[in-house]
Amino acid sequence: MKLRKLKIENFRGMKDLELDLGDTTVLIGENNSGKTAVLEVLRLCLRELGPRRRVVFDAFDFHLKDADAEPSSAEPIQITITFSEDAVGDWDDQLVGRLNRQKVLQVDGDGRSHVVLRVTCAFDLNSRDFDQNWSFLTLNDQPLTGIFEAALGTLQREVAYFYLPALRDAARHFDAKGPYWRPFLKDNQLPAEKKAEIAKKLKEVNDLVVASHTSFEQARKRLKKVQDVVPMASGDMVSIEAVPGRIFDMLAKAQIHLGTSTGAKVPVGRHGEGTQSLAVLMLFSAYLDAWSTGTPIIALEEPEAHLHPSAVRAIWGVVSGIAGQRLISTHSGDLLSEIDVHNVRRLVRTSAGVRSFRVPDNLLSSEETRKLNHHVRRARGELLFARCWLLVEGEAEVWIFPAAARASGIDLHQKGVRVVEYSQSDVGLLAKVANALGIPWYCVMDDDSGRRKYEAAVKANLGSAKESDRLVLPYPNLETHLLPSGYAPQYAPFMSAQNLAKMKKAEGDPGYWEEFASHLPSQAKTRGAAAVAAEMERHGAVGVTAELTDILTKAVTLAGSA
Amino acid sequence: MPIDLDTLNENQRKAVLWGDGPLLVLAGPGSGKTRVLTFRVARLLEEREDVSVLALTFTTKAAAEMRERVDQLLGQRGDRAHLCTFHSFATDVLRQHGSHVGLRPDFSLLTQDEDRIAILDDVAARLAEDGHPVPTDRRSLLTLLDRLFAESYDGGPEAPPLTRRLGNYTIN
Repeated sequence: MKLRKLKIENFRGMKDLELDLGDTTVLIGENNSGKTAVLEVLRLCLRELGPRRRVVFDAFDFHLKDADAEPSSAEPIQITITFSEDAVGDWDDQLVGRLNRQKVLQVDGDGRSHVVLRVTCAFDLNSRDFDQNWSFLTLNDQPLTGIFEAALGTLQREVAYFYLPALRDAARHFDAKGPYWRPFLKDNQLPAEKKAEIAKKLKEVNDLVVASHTSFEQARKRLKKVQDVVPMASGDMVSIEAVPGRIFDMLAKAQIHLGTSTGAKVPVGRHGEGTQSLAVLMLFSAYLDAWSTGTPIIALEEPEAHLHPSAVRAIWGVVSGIAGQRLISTHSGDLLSEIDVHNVRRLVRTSAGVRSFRVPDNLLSSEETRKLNHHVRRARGELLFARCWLLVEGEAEVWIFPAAARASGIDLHQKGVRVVEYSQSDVGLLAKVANALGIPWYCVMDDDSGRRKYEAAVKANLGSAKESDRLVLPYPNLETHLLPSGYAPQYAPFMSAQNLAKMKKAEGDPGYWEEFASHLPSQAKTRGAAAVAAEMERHGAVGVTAELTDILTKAVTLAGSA
Repeated sequence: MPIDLDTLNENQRKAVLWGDGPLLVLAGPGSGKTRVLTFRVARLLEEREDVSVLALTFTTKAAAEMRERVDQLLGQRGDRAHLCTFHSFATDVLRQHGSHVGLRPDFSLLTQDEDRIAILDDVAARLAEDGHPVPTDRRSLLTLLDRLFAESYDGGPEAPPLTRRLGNYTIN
């Protein structure tokens, strides 16, 4: 039973957010964009919420629209969670039967089954308290009547929700009270005769340890004196258990030790953060293998925490192996590199609350998906985190623009602008994907014969944006622009004598630099650009041309608007 | 624990164990029809974990009795048996799935004749406004309409305006 739609209204930063969820859904977004809130709200509704209507939300869960807003006057929180069959018959008859007996099952015109749960919470002025309610809905949003309280429990059993937050302290998780470790420690998995045998052995070991430790005996005698002062019920009240004498006690103290590079075994809680995090993830996965029923929903917050980039990529293997529906939040470009871009939901905080963007399933052809995988996903997953893409033709521009930004004191990283090269890729595809993900982009194109190759693709993907916000043709080519701007010495060493001899115009003639640029060997362009970049940074802002400054300013503005 | 069928006579047992398609049990009063049904429900539930059973009765009392006896036979609550009256089952279906025919789940049933006559009056008044003659004896008109509904009379293309009007009747 898969969760397919989640609508969150007036919860924390979300005014009205609709998310559709696949078998795997990866939430990305800047800090405070609501990734954790999504995982949390599902925990509240699918785990914490009970038939007794104990309020699971607190005052700060309400969406406060401005500085003066109070939870008591805030709009009601409303969470709508829809479980759906993808195709008729996905849910087996027994599941359908259980849902039907609770009268919550809905069937659409195509015969697919759905269950819609809605949880609301509002401040009640009469009782001066939060009033929380849940109901099941018809497919046209009307609450079903005559539903038993038990229906919620039935749903929660079918869709067990497991949430592993980002902080994965192994010492806490591998404690006897840790929710995913505790079940492993239950002694009811041992047959009675085995228990007796183990208990007998434990007693022998204990007696031996106590007997050979004279200090224990002294402590025991000392403690026995307590009985002389405080009357106690029976005779021998003090016993020392060097080894846990009872099975459940011993199991509770069971510890995981992991080998180190030297072969020494060290308790898991004493390993580095990365190993701890990994160990907890493994425990989580083992727990689900052993105990989960139905189709669990696994929510993982930042599985990449504290891990080496290669380990991050490897961890996807572990995560994707966990049975159930997966909901993951991440800040890792490396992790994203392992994930189909269609599974990504990009959350963006806007003035109208958090919005979600995705690449729709049918937007890209298989060829485009391949290209995207090659140029963006595998190599540069982090691009999906950007606030603006500055699309530039080739390597020379990739040298120049970041250098110009540094020279002008603009921190492109901080502004969220990423420079993306398109001549080796597909500018139309990049624009299309950026549009779908809600990433504004700005394309810099040479105003030369090559223009025809790219211009149509850019114009076809303007979407609702103005052409002037998406495309600029500042110069015939980068070299013609930079050579007369004081950077001729950086290109000169890479000009061949042979080509120089072909020059017809003399320095100072009109069109001289155009001709010079046209004779530059192609590798001289990138080498020259690298040299210009270094020189530009040395000069500082004065070395940056007005055209480059305009483009950078535009990109930064667009990044700020996202 | 298999259900003990020893207390049943041979015919009853045959009916309980019947496994080949639908079965009609036709017998006189006091011959143990309900008993047969109860055992049959319990047997079906016990034999196969994947089935659920819908068992409908005419009265709430009968449904409650069957529920108790099925649970007793199974030694636990037979969750997979849906036991209720025809009426509550039909109402449940309409509540759960009525949105397909434009019905809201919070509809209520009119069981008092007075309420139904009030609605009839309302419809009759509107028909009169449109210039259609309407009989004045509401109570016998209601009985007549009930019979038409019971026979699933849909009016057909030649339906008199009253039935069409009633068919479209919605409470504002």
